[in-house]
This record gives sequence, C-alpha cells and structure tokens, in this order.
Amino acid sequence: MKTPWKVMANTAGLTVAALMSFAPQASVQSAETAVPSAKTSAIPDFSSGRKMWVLASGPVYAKVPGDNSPGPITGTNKYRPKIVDPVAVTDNPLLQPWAKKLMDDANRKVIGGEIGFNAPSRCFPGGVPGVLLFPGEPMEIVQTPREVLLMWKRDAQIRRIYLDVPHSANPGYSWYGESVGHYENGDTLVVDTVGLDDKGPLDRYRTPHTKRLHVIERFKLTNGGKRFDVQFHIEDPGTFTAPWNGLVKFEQGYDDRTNHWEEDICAEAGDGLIPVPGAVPVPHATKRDF
Amino acid sequence: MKNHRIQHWLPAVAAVALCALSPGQNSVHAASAPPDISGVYWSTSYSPHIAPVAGGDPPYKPEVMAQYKKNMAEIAAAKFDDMSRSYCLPDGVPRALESPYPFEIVNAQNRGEIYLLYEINHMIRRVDMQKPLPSDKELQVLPYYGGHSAGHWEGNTLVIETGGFNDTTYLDNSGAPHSDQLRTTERIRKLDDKTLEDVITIHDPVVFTKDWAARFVYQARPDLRIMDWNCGEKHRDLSAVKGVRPQ
Repeated sequence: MKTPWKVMANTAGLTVAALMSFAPQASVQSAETAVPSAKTSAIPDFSSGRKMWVLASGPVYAKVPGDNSPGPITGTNKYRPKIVDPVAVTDNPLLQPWAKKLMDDANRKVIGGEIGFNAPSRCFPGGVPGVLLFPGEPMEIVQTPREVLLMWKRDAQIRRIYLDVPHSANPGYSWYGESVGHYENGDTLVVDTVGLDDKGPLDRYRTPHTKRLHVIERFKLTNGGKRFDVQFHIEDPGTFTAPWNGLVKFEQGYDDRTNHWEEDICAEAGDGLIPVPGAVPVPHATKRDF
Repeated sequence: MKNHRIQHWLPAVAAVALCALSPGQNSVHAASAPPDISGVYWSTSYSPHIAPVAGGDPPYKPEVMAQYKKNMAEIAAAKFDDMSRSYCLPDGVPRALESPYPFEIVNAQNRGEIYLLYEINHMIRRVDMQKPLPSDKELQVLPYYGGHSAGHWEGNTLVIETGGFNDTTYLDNSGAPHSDQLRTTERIRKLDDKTLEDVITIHDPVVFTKDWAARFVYQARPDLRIMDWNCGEKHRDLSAVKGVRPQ
C-alpha cells in the first residue's frame, strides 16, 4: 500500500539529528541543555510575511525521515471511494489492546456506513497535536514577548503557548492543555504540552489517548521563513507501547485580500446547526452559565 | 495678499505647535511609543443591562423599545432564543464587553494588529492598526458577529472603530436589539497599572434616536490565563464576580 504521506516524507529533507533531540521523557529544560547552541535571544519570525499559514502536507501525519519507530498511526484507502471517512490501520504495534479495540470498533462503524466522529468538523476544539490537521484552514501565529498564539480562522480556535516559563504545579486538564515553549537556534519554537484531557483529537483516525499524553512539538522555519515544519513527539504510556514521532508541514497561503484572521463560526446556521443525521451534535449548552 | 498668506499658514503652524506640545495626541504615527495595554483583564462586577453613561435607558425609538421589552419578557420566562448562550455563537459588541468572563488584549506588533480575545465563546476581535476601517459598502459584504475593527492611538488611548456587524447579536444580556447599521467607537486606556477603562460610543440610527455611550472597567489580572472554551462544558468559577447569580 503506497500512501501519499510516505511520498511526502521522502521529500521532507529533515535530518536524523533533528529527530534525536526528541529524547524520551524530555522536558523543556532538558531539551535546552541538550542543545548547547540554543540562543534564547534570537526570535524566529513566524508572522508569515503578514500572510496566513496553511497546511501543506495534507490532513495526515508524515513519518519523520530516518525515524525507525512505528509511528505515526496510519490509515487505509481500501474502502474508498464508497467510504470517505478515514479508516485506521490498527495493527500498529504502538497501540495497546484497549486502544486497538476502540479503533477497530470505530472502524467497523465507519466501514458500515456510519459517520465517524471528527471533532473539528463538529465544532469541537481540535486538541494537540490534532488541531494541526485542519486541512485548508488558514492559521495565524501571533508572537508576543510573553506568549505565542496559534489562531485558526475556522471556528476561532486558539492555542496559547507561554514562553520561558515552567509548567504549572497543577495545570489541570483541558482541550489544548498547558503549553510552554521557548525559542531555539533562531529558527525554532519548541513547545511542551501537558494537561490534555482525553477528549481532544490526536489525529483523524480516532486514535485515543489518556490524560497522561505529553506532546513536544518543534516548529521550525524553513525556506527563509516562508514555510515551517512541525516535528512532534508523542508520549502516552496509557495508550501507546512506546513514544512515537510525526511531522506536519505548513506553508504561506492566501493572497493580500485574505492575509489575516477572519471570523468563521462553525456552529452557525449553514454549518453546525444544519442537522446531519447520524453525526454527533455540535456542542451546545442546555443551561446558562450566568 | 499678505494677510491671506498668513491666514493660509496659521492652521498648519498651530497644528505643528500642538504636536510639539503634546506628542501623540494628534498623530497616529507619533514618535512616542503607545503604552503596553496587553494582558488579561477581568471585570469584578456584572450586570445583564448595558447602561448609558448619561443615565436612563438606551435611547431606543418607540417601536424598537417595544421589541426590547418583548425580549426581556421572553428572557424572564426562559423562552428567549439566545444563540450566544445555547450554541455559543459570538456575543458580538458591546455584549462581549459586559461578559463576566475575562478577556485578553494581545498586541501583534510584527503584524500591525491588536487582538481582543474573549474567553466567552472563544470570540476573537481583530483590530487592524495599519489601515482605516473600510467603507460601510465594503463592510456589508461580509458582516461579522464581532464586527470589523480598525484602531489607532491617541496618546495613551487606543481608539477602535468597529462596523460591519451582522444583526443577529444583542447589545447586552438583556436582549437589547441593534441593526446591521451599528457602528461603535471604543476609547480604551489604562486608568492606572491595575485598571483598564473602555468607553464605547454606540451609533445605530436604525434603532436609536441619538448616539450614546457606555463605560466598562476591568482589573488587570496577570495571574490569570484565558481558558479553553467548549460550549456546554463547565467553565470558570464566576462566584467572585459581583452580580452573577448562580444558575
């Protein structure tokens, strides 16, 4: 089975050395000590020449070149074109038995013609790193001295990355977790995320995870700041038999007419509020907060 | 002829003198750096009614006041179709300003933008600091819940003009209606290190007999971070916000 992301991975041009900086159990602090050339003063410019970023690598994770581990979780096209929902390949040795069973059950439903759950298409937050897979949806990166914000046009979804601070003693659990980050080598933003609840999507194959999920992402500018790669490292001893890595690529998109964030609300009429029989209802409140 | 020339130059000389006396007061591109108003802010009190600074009720035209009263009656009877509460559609402006949840001001300096990010319904308002607000005709093409905003600094005050609203939101949590001709001007400034003021002028000739202003005051909360929002889930504890009644 030749899958398109393998083709893309072959052209990714990334080094094994970069991969090696994903030390298992790595924390932000240990990553700093592992890279002595890190210059915290040099701030890479993720403003995209005042355009927006769009996904360049399709809504699936690529394999990090040179990575011999079994990640990422992949899918199969063998039920297409009849079934368009993603169908996962569940014999990946990374999956613990409970995770494999859950995915097999979901696969059976999708192959049987049911609508598979896709969080962003039903107006749920995108999760980490799942939010990186919004296909065709422009994203803006805003950098301030205190934080970096990833802001998607679609549904005004926002991820916040707090710079040069340690994780909280008790970060709690949320859809995007608690992300802390720092800059390295003048071209890379390293992001360490914990406190992810078990609801946020990991990918489009309905790969589950537990609250022990720990994600380290390296956003690295390429092509003179016109593109960036995100190599990420996943640890979740509650779900996977070993840590694994994946790769997503972004490029400058859109022209001068749409070079900034625009309002696009998922749950408004014309999208989420038009009932889709068999799909999970979009998030809604049955009582007021105040 | 001589007199005429003097008269011709007088306003320019006066303007230059004014600029020299008060840098930043009259020029968007003043040399003095605008103050840093970025950060998280949270109101210590909440009221569902937006109140004119001048007192009394918003100056609705009689027929619109009748609609407003109908909305209030429906809210009291829990029969009001409020998509900002049920499906978490953006609250719009100025409703988001009276939210009992915090918000964040982000200065995206390298992109020439300021963002106002409201925790409630994860509403984003983008303020273009580079270009003036497009014409009403241009804004009508793509109306937003939060409107389209352009801003500039007048001394220590961030002035935000907003237009291009859709007409599906309300001005407040008591069902105060508006039209798609709504235009707002906000004057946002730090009163001191810990306090932010937003005075908003509301212009909507379809529903109001005259323009009017409301005032909101927020506390700077560097200890807080804006939380993720998913509709229908339990959100931040609001018990510290005066005026919020537990549901």
